[in-house]
Amino acid sequence: MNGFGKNSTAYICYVIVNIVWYSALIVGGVMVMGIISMLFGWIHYPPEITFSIPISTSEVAFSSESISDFITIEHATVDIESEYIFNRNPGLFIGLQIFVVACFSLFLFGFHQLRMLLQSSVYQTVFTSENIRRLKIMAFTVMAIDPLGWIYYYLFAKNFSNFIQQQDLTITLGSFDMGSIVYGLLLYTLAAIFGKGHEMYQELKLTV
Amino acid sequence: MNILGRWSVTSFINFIVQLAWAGVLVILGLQVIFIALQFWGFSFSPIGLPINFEKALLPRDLSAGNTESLITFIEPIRTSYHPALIADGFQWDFMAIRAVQLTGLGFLLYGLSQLKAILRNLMIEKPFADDNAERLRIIAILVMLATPFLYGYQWLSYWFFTSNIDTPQNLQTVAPTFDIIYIVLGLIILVLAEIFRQASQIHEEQKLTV
Repeated sequence: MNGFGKNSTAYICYVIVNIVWYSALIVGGVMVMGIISMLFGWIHYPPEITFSIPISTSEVAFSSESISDFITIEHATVDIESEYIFNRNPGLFIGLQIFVVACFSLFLFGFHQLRMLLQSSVYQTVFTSENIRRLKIMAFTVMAIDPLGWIYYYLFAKNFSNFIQQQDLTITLGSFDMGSIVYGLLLYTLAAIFGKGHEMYQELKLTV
Repeated sequence: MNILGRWSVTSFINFIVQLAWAGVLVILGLQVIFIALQFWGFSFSPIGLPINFEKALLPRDLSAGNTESLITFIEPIRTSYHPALIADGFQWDFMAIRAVQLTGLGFLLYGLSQLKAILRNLMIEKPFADDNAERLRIIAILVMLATPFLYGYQWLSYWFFTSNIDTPQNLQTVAPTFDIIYIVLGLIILVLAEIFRQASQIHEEQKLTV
């Protein structure tokens, strides 16, 4: 089973994923350099650098009651300036930065597996043991998305509780959405299917 | 933990997909009933329409430049509204929205049916059955069509809301944005469909060889 070649949908996907991956790599590099510069005080915190957290929708209200009658607020996110967090809780700020960088690195690692998988589908054979391993890594990375989000919001809620109480806000842990876990299980199933395909391909090669 | 076969990860995913399929079927049925009832003057819609707002005022304004609080709303606030509560009697634009919702639900149901059939093949440990590749291709096309469909649906909702409601000046609606993620996802599923098709051919050759 040879690769699909350059005149295929796989090649278009490979190009798109490559563009996204290199862009994310540049963004990640700038992010790390920016964090180090801010920690050493070489640059001031730009107001655009913020941390987003979801809040309970009961905290948000429209000024016009007539609109509130038929509109349901589904999701509200507030942004808190990073300089404000650093001035009040430097330990939390550094911890959050490390956590964000670690999650971003995990995302890059998982995305790299997809990139390599598509590359092998274009230029080489698809049913290889490396591709099975890549699919399993992607599966675990996708399954970790929602739980990592919950940890991020919990860090905010636990360490920023005084400030949050002063502002009469309630931070939610986001929605209890198991979508990423189900998608991760689907990818894991795909890895098992690729395993079967790999066995079948090996048997066929031996038979031929 | 088994991945394929009965009482496996695949059967768990199949259960969730079955649940989603049943839910969509119920909502589709309700939507059809309420469309029929509208001709007798009964207006109700089980599905809210999406609309995003740029700014909302809390009971206490947190983003008024107070140095003690540097919390701002930057992302649009996602809300939904029920058009039946603002539509007066029978309206053709309201019927058009319901028709679009019905179409979307139909496509979703069809896609979930294809996915159910694929998962059923995986549960009987036939991953390279002939029809799996075709079903994956159908799912890929449906996923790619989701992007323009959702964009059009959000614009229809935005237009209906701004035509029928006078919002206060400090409350601005946000126009929908175009999201290409489903197109990329559809392309990846298309690649998977092609992989499954070639694997199915190898499987056939192997059976003939044996």
